[in-house]
Amino acid sequence: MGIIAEIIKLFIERTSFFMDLLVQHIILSGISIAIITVIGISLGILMSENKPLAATLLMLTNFLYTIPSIALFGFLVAITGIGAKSAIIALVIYGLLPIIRNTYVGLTEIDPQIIDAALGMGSTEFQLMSKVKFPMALPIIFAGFRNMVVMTIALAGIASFIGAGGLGVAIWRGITTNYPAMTITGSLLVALLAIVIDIILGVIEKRIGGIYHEG
Amino acid sequence: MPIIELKNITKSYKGKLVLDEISLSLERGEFYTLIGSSGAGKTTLLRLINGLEKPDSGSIYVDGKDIAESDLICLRRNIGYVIQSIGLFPHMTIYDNINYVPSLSKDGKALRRERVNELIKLVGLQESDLLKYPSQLSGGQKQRVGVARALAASPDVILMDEPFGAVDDITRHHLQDEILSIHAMLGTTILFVTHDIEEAIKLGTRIIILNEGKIAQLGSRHDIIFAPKNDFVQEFLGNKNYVAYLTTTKIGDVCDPIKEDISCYPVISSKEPIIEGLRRIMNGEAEALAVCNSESQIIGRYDLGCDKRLRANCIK
Repeated sequence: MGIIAEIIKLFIERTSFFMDLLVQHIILSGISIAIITVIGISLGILMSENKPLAATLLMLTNFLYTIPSIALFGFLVAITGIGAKSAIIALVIYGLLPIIRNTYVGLTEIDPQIIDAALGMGSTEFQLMSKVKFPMALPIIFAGFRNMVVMTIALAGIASFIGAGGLGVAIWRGITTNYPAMTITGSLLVALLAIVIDIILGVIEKRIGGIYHEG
Repeated sequence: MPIIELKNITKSYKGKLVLDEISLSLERGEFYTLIGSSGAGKTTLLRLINGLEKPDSGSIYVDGKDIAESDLICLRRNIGYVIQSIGLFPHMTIYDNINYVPSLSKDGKALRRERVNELIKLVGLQESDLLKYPSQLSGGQKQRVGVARALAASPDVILMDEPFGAVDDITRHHLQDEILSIHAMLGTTILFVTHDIEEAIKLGTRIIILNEGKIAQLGSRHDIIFAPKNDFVQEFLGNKNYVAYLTTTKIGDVCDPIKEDISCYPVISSKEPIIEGLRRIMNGEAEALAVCNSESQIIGRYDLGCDKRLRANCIK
């Protein structure tokens, strides 16, 4: 029997098992993505107003990004224990870099003349950020968001190694029981989820970016 | 009371003195143009007035109030501001760009649709342009939107920093004519920075020449043309002040009153610039021209002596 037929058969036989894992996976990634977005954008905004903070935080997130994920998961288990909490912390740490960097770059690369005009016309600092800087940086911030979302969905596959559930469970089970169809089905579902979300975000990104061009 | 008053303003940048003990009063309703070589402190002077720069010493009064003690945000909302790169917001439609300043105030009262329509027509654009984004407009059109945006909150003063510096000659002439007619219509006080002497003389009812952080001369168009105050001003202007005089002064403003019957002379409209009269006289059409107004009545006589007599009057 070909591997493809075996995968289809497995999926049909155990649909509810995979669907449960898929839902867990979506919840796990969703919570992480929400936390990353809030923290990342807030930090990015703070950094755009404070150069020394920006240098420090960029260095720190760059450093965290280089730690192998398995090592980070293992390290967190020692501190925060097994389960979803550790997984979410690890996912947040990885996901912060793209969104922080894009928020920071998007906000600091706005034409200073436009900021000058906005200030000269009497915008407060808050209005400058909310009406001019942030909307202008939004296409770049969103590109970082999209990047981060896909990465988080993929990385959440490893979270089951520390007992956080999700489609990683299928992958892990397939590996330990020498059952390739199980591993491949789990992996395909992770990939499929990431691709579908990426396509949806791509459509939204085009809409945001299509509104205007510089100049 | 002058609408803007600068008292002993000194400002330096990185150890270099940009403005040196400048005192200046701007009267309500006048159109001031500010010229000077680059680095003479023109832009700095402008930006001091809306508080984007702070003086090292001296005080600035707007409407009699020391701006060091006023709310800068509020001050800026009542002063129109147009810069060379225009600074239109690329993520907002033209409509929202024009509405920007009104939308900032606490009550968040946006302009009525009719008012925005009025403004966009005032600067020579179409209502249909309101739905466009800045990237869909030409350089000249963007500049017009910049002017409309500055007018939106009906400010008493508009500061303009080389607003027409980046557009082609023909567009610039149109924009100049339009800002003149807007000024004539609304009577808003304008302070206009430029490095183009002809532009300064064409637009300004009062012209300020800045040199090395000091005011080299402040005077009317005729003062600047016929009575440069010192060697610097003379050298700075070269002969451009005369060129500007010839191309921007209307013949009706310099012609002599009629003393004899001049109906035998060819007719010229009082609205033509002097240079057109000169051209016709030098082409040998006649030795003088009969100047007529828009109702075709002859109101004066123009010949080569008119400009000389005007100069003599001015020096007196």
